[in-house]
Amino acid sequence: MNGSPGPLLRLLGSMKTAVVTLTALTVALAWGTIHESIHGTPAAQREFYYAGWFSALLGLLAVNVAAAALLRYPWKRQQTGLVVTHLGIIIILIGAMVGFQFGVDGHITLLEGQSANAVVVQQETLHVADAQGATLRRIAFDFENSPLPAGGARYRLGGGMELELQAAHANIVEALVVEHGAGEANPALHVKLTSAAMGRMAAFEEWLLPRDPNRSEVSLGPAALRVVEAKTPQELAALTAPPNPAEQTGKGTLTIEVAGQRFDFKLDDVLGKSMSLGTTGFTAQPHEYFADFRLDSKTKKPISVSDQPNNPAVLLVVAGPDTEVRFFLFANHPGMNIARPAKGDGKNVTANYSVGPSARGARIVVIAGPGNQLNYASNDGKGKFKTGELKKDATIETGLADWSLQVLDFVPDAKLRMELQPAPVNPNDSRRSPALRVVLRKDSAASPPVWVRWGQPTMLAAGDARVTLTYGWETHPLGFTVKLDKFRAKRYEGTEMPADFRSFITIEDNARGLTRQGEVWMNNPVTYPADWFGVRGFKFSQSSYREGQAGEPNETTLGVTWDPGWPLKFLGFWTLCAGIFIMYYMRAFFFAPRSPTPPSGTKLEQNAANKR
Amino acid sequence: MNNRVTSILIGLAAVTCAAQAQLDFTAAGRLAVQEGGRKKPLDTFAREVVQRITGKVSLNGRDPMDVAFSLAFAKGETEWSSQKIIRLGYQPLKARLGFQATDNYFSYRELADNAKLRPLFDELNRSQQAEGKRKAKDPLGDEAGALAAKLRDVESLVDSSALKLVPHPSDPDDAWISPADDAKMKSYWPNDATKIRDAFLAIGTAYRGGDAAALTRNCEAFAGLLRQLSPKVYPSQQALEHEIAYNHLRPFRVSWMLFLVSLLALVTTAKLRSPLFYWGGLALFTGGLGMLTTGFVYRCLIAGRPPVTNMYESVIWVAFGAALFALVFELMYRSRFFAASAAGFVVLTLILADQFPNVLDPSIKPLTPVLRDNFWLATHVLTITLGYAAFGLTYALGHVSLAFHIWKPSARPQLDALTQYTYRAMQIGVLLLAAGTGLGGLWANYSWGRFWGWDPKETWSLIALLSYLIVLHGRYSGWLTTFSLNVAACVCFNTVLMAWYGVNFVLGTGLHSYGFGTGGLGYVAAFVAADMAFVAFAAWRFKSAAA
Repeated sequence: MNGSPGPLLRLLGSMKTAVVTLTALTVALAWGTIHESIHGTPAAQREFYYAGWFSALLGLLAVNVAAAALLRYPWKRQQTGLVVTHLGIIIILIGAMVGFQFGVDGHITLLEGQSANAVVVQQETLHVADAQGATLRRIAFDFENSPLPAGGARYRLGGGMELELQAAHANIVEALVVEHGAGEANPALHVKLTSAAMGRMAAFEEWLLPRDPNRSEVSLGPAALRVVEAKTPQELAALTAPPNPAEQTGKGTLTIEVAGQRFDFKLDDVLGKSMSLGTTGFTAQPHEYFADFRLDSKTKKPISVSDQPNNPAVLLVVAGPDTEVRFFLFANHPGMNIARPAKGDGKNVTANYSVGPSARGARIVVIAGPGNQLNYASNDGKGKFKTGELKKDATIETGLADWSLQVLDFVPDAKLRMELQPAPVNPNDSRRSPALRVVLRKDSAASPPVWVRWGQPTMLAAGDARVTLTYGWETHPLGFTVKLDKFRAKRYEGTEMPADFRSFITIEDNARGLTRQGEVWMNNPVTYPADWFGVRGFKFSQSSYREGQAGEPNETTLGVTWDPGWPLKFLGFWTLCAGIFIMYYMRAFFFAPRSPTPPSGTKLEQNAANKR
Repeated sequence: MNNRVTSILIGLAAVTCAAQAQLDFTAAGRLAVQEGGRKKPLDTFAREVVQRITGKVSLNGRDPMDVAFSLAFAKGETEWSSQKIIRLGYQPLKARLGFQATDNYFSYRELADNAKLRPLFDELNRSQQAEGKRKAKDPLGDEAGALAAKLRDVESLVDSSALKLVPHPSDPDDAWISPADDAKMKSYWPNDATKIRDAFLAIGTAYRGGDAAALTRNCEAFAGLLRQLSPKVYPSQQALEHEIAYNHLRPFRVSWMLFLVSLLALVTTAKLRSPLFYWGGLALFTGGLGMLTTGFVYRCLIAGRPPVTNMYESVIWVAFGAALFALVFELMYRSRFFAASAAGFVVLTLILADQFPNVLDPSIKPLTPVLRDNFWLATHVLTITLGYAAFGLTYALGHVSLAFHIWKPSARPQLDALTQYTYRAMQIGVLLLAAGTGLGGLWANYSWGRFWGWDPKETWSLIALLSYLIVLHGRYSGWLTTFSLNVAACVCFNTVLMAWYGVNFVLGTGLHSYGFGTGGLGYVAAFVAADMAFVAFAAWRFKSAAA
């Protein structure tokens, strides 16, 4: 920089560039945090902090900081602070770049007794291994940022093999496929339920199988849809007969416990009467019954808004020696039950109110058979009963709320198989199962298209070629084994608040012939291989845990990092601090103060300096 | 019970015992109780629970111990269940429950009988279970959860289950139990259960009878019995005394009062130029600082860690830092501006901490595991909050300077000196904020295994640092005039507010979740808006004067 610096350097190192770059960075960061609070951390990291434009901005900052220092060369003594500060910033930024490019930032999750020899890194990969398990190829993806091209992609595996990636889908489910021609009776019904009021969410469309207990009934909130098979006309008649009204009218059961003794009453029998409770000396009296309880908004008094048992409630008084408790009991919401002692503490008296399912259980039954006929029977649980014939594709009102039912298909002789199919994607669903559809080719032979599911190694064959595909997070070999011996979480006294949780690990390094034991807890990582500054070693730090229930092993997740940029960041940080300190507080030591302050201030500043 | 008089107190119909007004709760306050993961005097517990339920430091001037005892030992439900003691201020929740928007206090019965409340609790429970975890932000859910906790607080006092006064026989880390819990009492103390229970009931009897001497005697007997039965577990008299002394001294309240007097003394006597008033004001200032220090020492003794682990403590620490820097500068420059500006800032922050216990919770709580490292807690957190403090001083000086620009534009020497002071304070802030942020990185590298991860708290402290760097560079290049440096000192403090308060209370995401809280946003926003209006007014005045 002897002589006059070029105009480009002067522009890059100018104060104007500095202020513009700093302002742009500040605005971008502020925007990024707001974005994060709305769209979540991954989105913010993808679109801001680890995006290309952001790295470019940081790069510009580094260039600006460097140029500003270089422009002032040869440096005067009083510029020491400025140069050291700028040097610190550059070292930190280089350290960040080194760490980002070469570092490992992953985790391992272990159950007690388990061990691992590789770190899981948040990078989607498809790992291709040959029949012997040797890696043929590792293909990294980032579908969020660069989706698969419409025509798919092809990868050479060597040895004349080629892998065609046809599709990637973020959620694949095993779906039931129903076909005709089982050669025997096996009814299957494709049923659709819609409700105008409850919107699209409540729509239900699925194959139901009367012979499969797991697929013969669906629960629709308070109601249930069931498919059954009628082999004979008698069976059909029984299923379509109206229910016995005697079962319908019951008001339910009261259960009262006094001093450890239990008493059950049918509310119909005892409403309004006073009953003595055995030899306990207590009496109970159900004063009032509310079929459809509501608290009147004006009078604040309980009322029944209809005679339908939609929200049955009972006012019950239990009295005894030195005790009187007024209960308000709710059959559908036992959590709302109120017990108010009018005398005594009432701790020895409890009561509950329940109404049997016959009065409440709304359901619709679709009956297949005998033969090819279809019928239905619906019961809204309040006495309304409906039955009739069902035609394929015809929509009928079920009589349950505003549900309408449609049988889209009826296969009396169903042949069943399961098939992987793309399903709707909910990005927040942690249990969704992403998969890749691939075809393996060798010479003229090709495998059928196969979905390779997340985390499930899948074998593919084409001609005599065999490969195993594993789709999942990238792993990074450690070069040694980490075993979780045990995991313990301590609580703060008398609470469930964790005070301290730690993993006891054993590291077995066969290459060096070493075995090390360590404890990892918050603020106490274990580094292996250990060295004086943690430059070479992987750092294991306690991240999260899950305690096993009822004797199951505990599970721990350790963060595993290796950051080759760490020494630079450390050095850069202290250089930066030293630089600022020198700049502001050691000017007296480095001679004449510059004057960033107005003339009148300079005197004060000098005074201050002299005092020191 | 004949001596009961009914008195209608402002805003609530509370039944108090005339005799109980004279009861002395000193001995009762010294009972040890286990709550919230630590052992504490009953005095602290009563204060905390009354503050949780009522949202106020004291209820109608009644001793919190009296309120807690009246709930725990009162006979029959009428005494407590109709008292309007439960605070519910959140309008959307009141609207949902069909309450009057103007009412802020409700009785237990009103809430328990509300037909919409239990279904709301059920709904929230269900949605939480369905989500698997708490949604990032759900103010109604948070407020309903807080209300449920208040109801539980009342219930657990009424049935005595909250009074976990009886220690484990031998294990200091095990749970304590309530003397009313018969089953557990028998398993903990098979031989002494009845004795302990009777001693406990005697306290209630003495309280109900309004017998001050018996209350003291019975409480001492109860504590003596438990200490003798479980000497290893029961906390020492001295530890309990420390905490009670802290509770009664209220050092932070005394402190802001001293600072307020100091501020008035320094401002009103500015024209007199009398060293007596100057040093007097400064002595009051130093007294306030001393009181702050006393409070910190107490909190350290009680909690066994540096007192900067939640918003309340950090607010007080920032006040302390600002006062400390101001005192050092004052001794260097003898200008009065430092002490007066800092006193203003400190009074403001300490009153906030003192008067809004719902937002800034003063209770001492155990730490989340990640913070359990006194070395890093002391270095990183103290440094970064000292940085905030220096910027707080900058901010205060900036305002004084702007005020001079508006109302005394002719006072050139003062203006130049003030600007110089603002610049000085800003330098300290930049050094400390840079160091504190970097120390955070070192801690994160140590604890989480990475130096920097663009966590919102990290990012905002960097934003704050960058915004001051912009100002310093602008000043260095001469683009920022004397006036605009002061404007910047006021404006940039908003980034500190965001890093300090906003990330934890507004954004609510990220790894620093142990500092998160709710509340106060409306007030903070109004304050910032009013402040920025003042700055804009100053700028307008300055511009029109220059034209």
